[in-house]
Amino acid sequence: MANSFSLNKKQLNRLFPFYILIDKEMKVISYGESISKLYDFEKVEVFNEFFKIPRPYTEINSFSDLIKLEDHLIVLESVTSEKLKLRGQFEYLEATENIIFVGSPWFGSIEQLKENNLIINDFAKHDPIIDLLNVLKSQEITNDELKELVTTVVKQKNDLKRANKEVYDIALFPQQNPDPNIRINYEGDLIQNNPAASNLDFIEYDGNVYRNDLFFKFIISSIDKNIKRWSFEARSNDIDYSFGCVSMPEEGYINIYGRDITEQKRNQQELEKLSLIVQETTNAVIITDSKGKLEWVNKAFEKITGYTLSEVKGETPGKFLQGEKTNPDSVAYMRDQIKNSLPFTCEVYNYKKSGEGYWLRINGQPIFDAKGKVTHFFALEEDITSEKKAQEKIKAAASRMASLIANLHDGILLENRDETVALANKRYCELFKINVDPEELIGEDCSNMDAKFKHLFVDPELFVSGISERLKNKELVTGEILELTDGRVFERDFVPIWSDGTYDGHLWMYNDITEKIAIDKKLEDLRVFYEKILDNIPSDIAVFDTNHRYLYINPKGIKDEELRKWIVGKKDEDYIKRRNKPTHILEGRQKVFKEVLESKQLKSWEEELKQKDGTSKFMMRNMYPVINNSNKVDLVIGYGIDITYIKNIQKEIANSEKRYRDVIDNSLAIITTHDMDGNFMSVNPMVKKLYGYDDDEVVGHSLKDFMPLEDKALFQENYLDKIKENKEATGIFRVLHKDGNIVYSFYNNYLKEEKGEKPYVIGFAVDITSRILMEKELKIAKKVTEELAQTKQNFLANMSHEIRTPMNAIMGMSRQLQKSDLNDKQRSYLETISSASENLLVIINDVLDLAKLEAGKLIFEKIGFDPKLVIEGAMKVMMHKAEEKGLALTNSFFDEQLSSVLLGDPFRINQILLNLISNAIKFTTVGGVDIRFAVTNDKEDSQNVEIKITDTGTGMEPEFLEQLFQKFSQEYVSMSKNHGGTGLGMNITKSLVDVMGGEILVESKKGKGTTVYLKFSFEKGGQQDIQKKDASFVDKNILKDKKILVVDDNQMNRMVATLILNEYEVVVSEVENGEEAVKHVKEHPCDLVLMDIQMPVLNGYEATKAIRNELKSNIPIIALTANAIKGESEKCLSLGMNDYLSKPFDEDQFLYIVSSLLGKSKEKKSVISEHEKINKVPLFDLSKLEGIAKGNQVFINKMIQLFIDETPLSITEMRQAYEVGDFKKVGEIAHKIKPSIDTLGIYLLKEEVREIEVKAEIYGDSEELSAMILYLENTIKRVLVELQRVKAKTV
Amino acid sequence: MYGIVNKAIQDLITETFGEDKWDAVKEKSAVDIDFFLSNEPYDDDVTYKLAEAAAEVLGISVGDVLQAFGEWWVLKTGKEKYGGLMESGGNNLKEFLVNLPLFHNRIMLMYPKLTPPEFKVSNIEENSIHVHYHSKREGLQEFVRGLMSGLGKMYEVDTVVELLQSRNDGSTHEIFKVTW
Repeated sequence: MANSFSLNKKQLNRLFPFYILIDKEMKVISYGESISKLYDFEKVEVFNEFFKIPRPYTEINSFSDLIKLEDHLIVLESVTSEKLKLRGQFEYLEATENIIFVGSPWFGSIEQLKENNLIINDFAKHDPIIDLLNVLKSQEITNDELKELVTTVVKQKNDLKRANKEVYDIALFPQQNPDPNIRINYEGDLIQNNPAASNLDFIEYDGNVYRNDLFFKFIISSIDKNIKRWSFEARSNDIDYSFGCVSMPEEGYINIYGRDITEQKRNQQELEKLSLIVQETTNAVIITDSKGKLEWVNKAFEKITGYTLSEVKGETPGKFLQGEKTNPDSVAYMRDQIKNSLPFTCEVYNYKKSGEGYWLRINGQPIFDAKGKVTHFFALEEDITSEKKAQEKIKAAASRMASLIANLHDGILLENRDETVALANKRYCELFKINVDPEELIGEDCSNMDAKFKHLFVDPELFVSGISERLKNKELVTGEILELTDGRVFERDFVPIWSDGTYDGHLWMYNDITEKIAIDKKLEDLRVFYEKILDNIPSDIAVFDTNHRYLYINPKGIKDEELRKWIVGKKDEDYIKRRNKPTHILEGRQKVFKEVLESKQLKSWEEELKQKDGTSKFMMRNMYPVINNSNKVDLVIGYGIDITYIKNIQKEIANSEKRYRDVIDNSLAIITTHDMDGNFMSVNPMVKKLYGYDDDEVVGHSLKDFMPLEDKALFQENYLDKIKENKEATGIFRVLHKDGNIVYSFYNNYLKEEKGEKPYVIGFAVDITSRILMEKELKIAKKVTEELAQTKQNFLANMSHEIRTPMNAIMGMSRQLQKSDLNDKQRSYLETISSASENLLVIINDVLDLAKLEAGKLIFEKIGFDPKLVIEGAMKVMMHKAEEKGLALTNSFFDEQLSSVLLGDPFRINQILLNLISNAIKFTTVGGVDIRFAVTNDKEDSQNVEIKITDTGTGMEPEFLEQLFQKFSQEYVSMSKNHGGTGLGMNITKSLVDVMGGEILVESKKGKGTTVYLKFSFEKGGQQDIQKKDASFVDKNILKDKKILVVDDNQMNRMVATLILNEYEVVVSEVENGEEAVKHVKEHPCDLVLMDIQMPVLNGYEATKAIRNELKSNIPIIALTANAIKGESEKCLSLGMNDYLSKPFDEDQFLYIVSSLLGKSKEKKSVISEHEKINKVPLFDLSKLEGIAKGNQVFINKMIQLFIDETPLSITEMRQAYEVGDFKKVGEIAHKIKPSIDTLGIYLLKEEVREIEVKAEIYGDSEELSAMILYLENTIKRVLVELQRVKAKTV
Repeated sequence: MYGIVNKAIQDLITETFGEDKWDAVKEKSAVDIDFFLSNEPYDDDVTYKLAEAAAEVLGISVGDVLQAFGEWWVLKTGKEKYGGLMESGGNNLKEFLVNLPLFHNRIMLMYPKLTPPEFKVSNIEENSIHVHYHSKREGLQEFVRGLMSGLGKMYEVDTVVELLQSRNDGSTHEIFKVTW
């Protein structure tokens, strides 16, 4: 055998698949295939970095440490996981100087194999580790099973204990039973018994007494052993027992259970006795169970009903006994009583088996057990059919009688022989006011009642004695009348009752005849009443039968009473004959009578009766038939009325009418009547006189036919419709005279509406042709005057323009000159020029203001302003003037109560203040000027203020004070020389104050000074009312290198602008008129245009239009105009200009506007009106419309659409009217569109449209009006665009 | 046979058909053992009696009972009680069947009182294998068939188990061809 052998790697792997080979450097140089599943040796080089050795615990520091472990059982543990262990040993291999570890993983359970991804094949076949693990597993399972088994055994043990206890308890039952329990075998031997059975020493059975042991042998001998259960009764110790026997053949014994039945036996005997009685009784007896089901019936029941017990047992009696006539209430009553275990008694109609009905009276009784529970019902039934029948007969008879008497209208009192009440009815009680049920009177003593009721009668004693007499006589008395004290009247009958010849009581019958007597009396009264009426009617009245015989005639017809009586039953011919009347009357009346009978209608005719005195009496005769239900004539009534008086009145009316007619015919006014279509019904002779037409040419023709063609169209609308509506109309008709001339007729017509008449018109008219012609002449004269005023206005405007133009040059140039180097002399001259020109400008402005004030064209603002700023502003301006003169200008009092914002025109207030302060300074040499501003009345919405300007100047003579406010007034001629001025200042001031609704008062004392009081009332405002000016700083450097075109026909003005702009290095171009300007802008793009307005060839407006519309340029354009009049700036802005400056302009303001516009144009903002920009007013505000619409969007859209559709047409119409000079129409159109503008909240046009409406005719053909219309046109255009957008959104 | 076999039959019947059926089977078989201990050997007769009684009570053939029992043995008993052991048998059906002889050889050592059958394998193919079954016990080939199909289900592959030869036809042992 070789000492050494070698294994190749494959073999080594099979034997030790978990081996590890380590070299001297401790590096793992080879390892088994299976261990590579557990450790990743590719990553590890050094063994001790991977493993540690917990057993035997060894610090692995060197190779030799491992060699030392050669003889040990080694446990290797991964340094990273303590869970995974290897069990094996190291072996040093000298030949290679390596150490090998052989072993295998050491697991705690078989499940760990899977967790480490190992299977059985990964282990060497000789390796028992898996088997070891399996054995462990089996052990584990066995342990679990044993635990389960122990649990089961313990449970079973407990179950057994419990069962034992139960068995013991059960066994106690028979032991404790007071009844005997006995167990015997089949030979009758006693096997077992309980204590109770031990007492049964002797047993009595079937008449014999047995000893205990012998008794059971006797019993067993006589039974069939195959019977499972049986029983017998026996007696022992005076107790009756019932013994129940149960055979148990398998066990070989019989159990006998005894039960004490002594009490039961006794009860049974008792019951048998009772049963016998019940069985034999003649009444039916039934017994039911607690539910009402029959258990037993007796013979009597069978006899009465025909049913046998066997037929009905188990049935409910009601089911077969009750039928159609059985009262369900009785049945329900019995059912309830049974249900509630209560006894019951009632009578029921039942049916026999034969179907025959019978009555029975049932007495039912519940039978209770010891616990009070119902076990049975017992019922005794008695046949009461015959009794019932007899009862019903009596009842029916009594009922009929009672009903008869009760319903009698007479009061009935039936008395017995002994004079007690047998019967009384309700009516009797009512008549005698006895407030009890009539039945309660039965048995009462009648003599007591008589005494009780006698007071009811007018003669009580007669009532009582009458009764006594009737009772005594016992004879029939009827129709006795008795009067009662309460006004009633009774009729009484007395009827004695005899039965078989024996008196058997009597009957009193009372009848209340009060009403009957009253009716009879009423009828008589009525007859007398009507006869009285007929007798007193002031007409002849006669009633005839159909044969024309008199039935009645009243005293008016025939006065003689005798004759009146005679005539009843007679005919007219009898009367005529007796009275000798003319026969023609008779014939006439007979004819009429016949007609009335035939036509069955009223006939009327007049008769003239000649009187003895020669006068005539007129009678209106009428005859009418009285028709009965069969449409036959019953009677004919004839009556006649004296109409002589009416006849006389008619005559008088005719006379009166003639008189009126004469008045009309002779009137100087035209008096006509016409129908509601205008057709003449009547005319007076003035028509012929004034219009030249004859009556017949007019009557029947329409008023319209006599009008000029152009007036006809409006006839219906302007006249007929109005008179229908207003019931009257006043106006002027132009009527064509027959000769073709127009006659102006002032009419005053009234609609007459009388009941039953067609309405018509009464017209009164006068000729006013001459007056009209005169008015026309006056109008022409007025127009001339107005034109003259306009001319004056225009002259002033032109003057202003013509003076301002050179002024601009003078002042502009002066300013430029001031900037240059000048010697003192030159500067002094220049200052004089400047001062003179400023004064001139003030004069021009004054003149212009005056002109505007006179023309009513000075427009006042109503905007928010800060009063403090106004005062301060004015003081600031005037301060240097005061200082120049060494005067103090102070504001000694400024009322803190003053509202911070007031509403008014701050510019005009400023103007007033400047005027007054400058006057004060002007006329003061020593001292100063002081201003006080006080609130005199502070109201919730407004304040009354007083501004007091006091100076210490020269003062005025009282005489001058009076004419202070007149134009051109200065105290002394020298004054104007000393102080300058036009003398217009105070007049203008006064006018401004007046227009603002204020008051100006002046107190002055010559040599002392003057105080001027200004009093105003201003509404209070808020900060929102203050117009925000764009106060942003404007950088003038922006001007550098900008290209600005100056357009002006005046070379001097061009020069002023150019000089100023050149200073800021602006590249300025100049042209002389609008046409050149347009051309220049087109060819040389520039940054801004300064545009004069009044220029030859093409004015500034037109040039701007061309630049905007034709060149489509947004270039900023500033209007430079000498027209300092209202409307100019608006016109400029509405034409698309960006701003406006009036000449002569202030240089700073000029630069500010130019710079700011250039700054804005850089931002390329759209060109909109500056006016709007400043105010930030929205184009429109629909809140008012929405308020009206109350949420109805359809309505809102409709209104907007209406505006979109109609307003442009109106604006076009307005423009056309303006072009043709119809300024009235311009105003009318403004009036027409005003409500729409207000409704849509177009505030931008609110003022303008009103101004056009009111002043279009005053402005006439003027640039102002044109500008306003233009502004209207442009604004409306923008509004329409925006409205379309809004509408599109909401639809 | 070890009690685990009888216990498995008890579990199969109780869980599949209910406690009553198990009581009926036990009564029918007249096996008077209330509790089987897994690692206690019992007479083989007990097992046969139980199988026969089960067939009778459930109204199916003994073969069907045995086959059902075979599957149960693998899928329930093996998995629940010897899960680790079963899983270490191989990563797939083929590997398990190849290891089967080794497995039973180990079992023989582990359970000295057991007389385990001996398995051999041959004709190892990619998708089939022949399993040779040597046993001293008679009539349990259907149990083996159940084991094979149970293994197929354990590894979740469809299998066909064919009995190629049997002691019934005079051969020395049974050969099953398991195809998957």
